[in-house]
This record gives sequence, C-alpha cells and structure tokens, in this order.
Amino acid sequence: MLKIEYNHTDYAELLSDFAQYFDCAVVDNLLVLPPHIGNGYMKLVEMPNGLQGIISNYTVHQDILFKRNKINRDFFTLRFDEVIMSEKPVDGEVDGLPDINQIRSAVFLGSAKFEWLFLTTNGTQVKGVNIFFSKDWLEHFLAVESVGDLIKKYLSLKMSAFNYEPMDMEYKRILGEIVNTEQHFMYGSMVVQNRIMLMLERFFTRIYYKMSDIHFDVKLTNDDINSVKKIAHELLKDFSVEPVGINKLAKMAAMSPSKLKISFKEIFGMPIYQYYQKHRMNRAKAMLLSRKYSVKEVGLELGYNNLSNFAKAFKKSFDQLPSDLLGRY
Amino acid sequence: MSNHFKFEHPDYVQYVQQLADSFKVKAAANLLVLPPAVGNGFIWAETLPIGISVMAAQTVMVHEITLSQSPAAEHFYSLQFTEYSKDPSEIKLPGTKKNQPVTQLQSSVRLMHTLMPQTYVFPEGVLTQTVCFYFSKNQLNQLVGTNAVEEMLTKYFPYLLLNEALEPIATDYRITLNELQVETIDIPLRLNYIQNRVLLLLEKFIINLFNRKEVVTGKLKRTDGETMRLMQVEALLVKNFTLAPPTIDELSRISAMSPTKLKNDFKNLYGHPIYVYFQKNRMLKAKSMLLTGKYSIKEVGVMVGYSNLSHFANTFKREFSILPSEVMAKDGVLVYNS
Repeated sequence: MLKIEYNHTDYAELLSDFAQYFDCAVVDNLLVLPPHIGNGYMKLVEMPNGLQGIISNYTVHQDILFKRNKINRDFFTLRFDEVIMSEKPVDGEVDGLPDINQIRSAVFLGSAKFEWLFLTTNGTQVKGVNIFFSKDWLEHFLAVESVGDLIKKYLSLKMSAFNYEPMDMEYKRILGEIVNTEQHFMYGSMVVQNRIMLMLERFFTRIYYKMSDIHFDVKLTNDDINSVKKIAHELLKDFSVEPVGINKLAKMAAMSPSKLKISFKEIFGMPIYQYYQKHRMNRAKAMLLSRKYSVKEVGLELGYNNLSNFAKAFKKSFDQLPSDLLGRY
Repeated sequence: MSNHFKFEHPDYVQYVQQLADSFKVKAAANLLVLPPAVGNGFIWAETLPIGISVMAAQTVMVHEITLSQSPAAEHFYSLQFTEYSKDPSEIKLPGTKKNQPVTQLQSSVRLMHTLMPQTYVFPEGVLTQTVCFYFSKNQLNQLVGTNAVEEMLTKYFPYLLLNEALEPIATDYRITLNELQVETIDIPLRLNYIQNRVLLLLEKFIINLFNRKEVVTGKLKRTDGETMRLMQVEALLVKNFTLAPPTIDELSRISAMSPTKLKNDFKNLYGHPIYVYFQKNRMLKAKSMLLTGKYSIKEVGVMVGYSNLSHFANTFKREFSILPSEVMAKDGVLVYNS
C-alpha cells in the first residue's frame, strides 16, 4: 500500500508532492497518473477569483492511503467526492485509524486542525473536487450575507464533529459538469469556477437549513460546549464496559439530563447513544481490518457478550457482517 | 408625472431609489413595488459581492415608462435580458397591421456599453420581464481570466456592439432568469445566490458567443426579420404546454418560411430541433413546478399536458435521469455520515 502524508496549505505544492510519490511530473497543472498508480488525472485549478481547487477523475491500480496531517492553522477543505469502491481487499495495516472507509460519495467540510484519511483500494474510482480556503476567505465569503454570522458560529461549534452531507443528484450533476469540462477549452476556468461557487452556495445553504431544522441554539456557552465535548470523550474511553448512563453523564457535565441530550445533539448532530454506537462500530471495523483479532475478540473488546448481537449491529452500520469483512483474507 | 427617467451613473441601485422617489414610495432593501397608479409588479436592484450591479423586474405598466442611461464616464458593459409576453393570438406578423413596431417589443439578449446611450422600455399593458447587469473588464477578468477576456473584448464584443445582432432567450437562459425574476429572493445566502445566477447568465452568453458561427466569422446568415419570426415561433411553442404544440406546417405558415428553412434555422438559432426544444422546455417547466413544492406530481403532469402519468414519469426520467418523485424527495434534511 502506498501511504501519502501531507499537510500543505497550497495546492500547487501539494500536487507536485503527489507527483513525487507517484514518480511522475505535473505538466500545465495537470498530473496524469502513471500506469502503476492508476488511470486518470488530478488537475489544479487556480480560479480567477483566487480560490484553489483540485479536480480528480481517476481509478487507482493499487491501494493508496491519503493522510492529511493536522496543522495548527485556520484552513478548511471542502470536498465533493463521488467514490466507487472496489471489491478488492485492503492490504496492509490500518489499525486504529478512525473513520476509514467510511467515506463513499459525500460532501465533506473539514478543518486543517484535524487529521483526515482517505483510503482508495485497488480499482476504486474517484471523481471529485476539493477546494481549499482560509478562515479569512470564508469569513469574507459569509460576511456579505445576513445569515453569515449564524453560519460562522455554527461552524466553530461543529468543526470538531464531521460535517458530512450525502452527494445527491444535484451535487452529482454539478460535479459531472465540472469533470466533463474539456481540459483546454478556452472558457473552461469560468465554467469550473461558476460550478464550484454553486456547490459552495448549496453546501452553506444546506448547512443553514440544517441548523434551522434542529432548532440550533446559539446560546450555548463555551463552558457548555467544553463539558459536552468532555462527555463525548468519556463515552468513547472504553467500549468493553457498559456505556455510562445519561444520569451519570449529566452529573459529570453538571447539566440536567435533558439539557445534556439537547446540547449534545446540537454539537455532534446526533443523539448520545447513536454517537457512541457509531464510534464503537468504527472501532470494530478498524480492529477487524487490522487482521490481528478474530470476530469474537473484537466483539468482546467492544462489550458484546452475544456475538450475534454484535454481528447484527455491525451489519446495520456497514451493510456487511464482520465475518464477511474477515472472510476476504 | 413624466414617463421618461434619466440616469447619470450605471448603477441599478440608484435607478431603483430614484424611481421610488419619483413614484413617491419607499424602496426598502432596494425593492420597488410599483404603486397602482404606475403599474403592477416590482423592480429590484442589488450590488453583488464582486461589484456587479444587477436589476430584475417584472412589470405591467399603466403607461409606458422609459429609463435611459446617458453615456457615462465609467466604462461598463451591460447585458440585458428582456422578455415581453404577448398572447400568441396577438403576435402580429410582419406585413400585417400592428400597433407597435415589432423591434420595440422584441424579447432578446442584448449587449451594450456605457459609451453608448441605453434605454429600457417598459411598455404599457405588456408583461415585461427583465434582468440586466453592468459589468466591467475587471470583473470579466475575475470570471474568465485575462487571456480569454482580451480575445473576447477585441474580437467578439465590438462586432456585437456594432451590429446589435439579436440573440434569442433560449431555454437555458430562461431557467436562470426565472430564478431571479421573483419579487423577494428568500434564500439564506441571498447575495451569493444572485451572483452565481448572474454569472451563469454571463457564462452562457459568452459560450453561446463562442459557438455562434456568425459572430466568430463575422457573417450573419439570417436577417433580423427572420430571427424575429423564429423567436415568435419559439414563443408559440413554449407558451402553453397543456395544449398540443402547433404542427410544423402551422409554424411554417406563421413564420412565412418553408418547413425546411424553418427547421434548419430554428436548430441553428436554438441549438435543438423544434420538437426536442419543445419537449425540453416542457420538462424544465415540470421540474421547476415540482421544485416549488406547491404541486403534486399529478397536477404538474396535467399542467404540462400529460394525461398519462407514467408517460410523464418516463419522459421526465429520460430528460433528467431521475423520476419526478425523486425530485420532490430530494431536498430532505441532511444526514450524517452513516
């Protein structure tokens, strides 16, 4: 497996570093993958309005793990990816990596302050657009809008959780128009820029609607937020024992149980137990993929005495049984 | 009250405020709702984040109103999309008696420059829908990049400005225009929403320009009279989807062209054969009605002339690769990574 680590804040440098990993060169902002890596391209777009983006359209010929290391700077990545995973097994160590293989086709907004992983297994097709921008840029972008402040507040709350949105038909349509714009078409940069701006507009519009949907409460204090984050951490400490009950968690957070439940959902976007379960299953998957443990060991480690309950819960999360995952090896 | 308004600066926000003063009403948030004595409808203006000034209007005036921009020191281009809706039965053919010269009531896309005097006509008793915006060379640079701008400004724009070659308002424009021609745009990222749509209009204009042979070669094959008759054909075609569309023979009679010439010229001007164009517009109409969320699929089907809903669903799917039911379900609540 090829493992690529990076932490760039400039996409031109990023692309030329990718080219070194792939043992090829970037010509005219275009990186054509060499046959041993894959088939297709990554392309840098320097948009006339100052934004940088990378358009990808390729199929990989080996397992590649992209790992974006965290940096302590205020940058954001917005990714629109349409990913078709191959059926081929993963080869190599992916122990302990959270959220791996979780991303299929999705829109994802991440902060450069958090690590981010993307595993493409041999045969995986990736079609996507990544945009990279600074906090200043985002603030400038939102400043003109009356709802800008609200969205900014929401994002600063949310950034520790994952901001995912499914790629629906409309996103896929716009993405298709971007990817299908001819490479050397004179007005290509305009077409690409307009579509990227449409996607940005759509993403933030939907964030706003989402906020309204869950009765987003901007009155949470920083203390509240910190307590809730502590609770989340507590919850995931040890899966082998029963999760701590709501009442006890509430005591730890010094909040009433109902306030805790509501605040938790606002910050993490899902109820407490669902959050717990999601991370528990991700952990299970990472353990299984490491090939160091049997299904039974993983089940026990995650607090399932009854393996068929474990299998059911696993299947509910990933559409396949733990044994199916292991059976590949 | 005078019906002729003059403006010094190419800035639509000023237009709207000045008009509001003349009509003795307030234009809060740069939205002017016409008082009954003037007409029915609205005009709004906005200055967008990248600096483009835009105006959208939908009016039926009691008396004709003319706005004119005197040649200005500031150098701006303007792009004006104007549609005058007429009842198809009232479309006067060239050579017949008409109250108003056809040229004055022609729906079209027009490129202008502030070096030339410009007028905007809001005729009496005719539904007029318009979107116009001023843009500078600098803003164009931000959109297409400097290299492409040079070629555009030196080769294509001068030709258009000199010849005033009419471009029809075709389907792809119309969808975007309809999104802007509403009284209040109630969208969270309102300015970005407007800006993105204005830039899409500009993009389509530029790309059409690039594809229009007549502009590239500097040779117009059609006369403006023919272009206008084709536009009338188009207006008839998309007017009312509940009825069966006019036949080629009827259209050919109305446009005073042979069926072959009509078909060829229509395709050259609008990019699609007549019935493909009709069908596309019909489906777009259906889609936009579905997206409003106000109508059921059945209602929409009937409104675009389908009595058989499964035919409607099939045709719809062929056009957009999704079923009408999927459009309706599309804008649900966001879900997390699951």
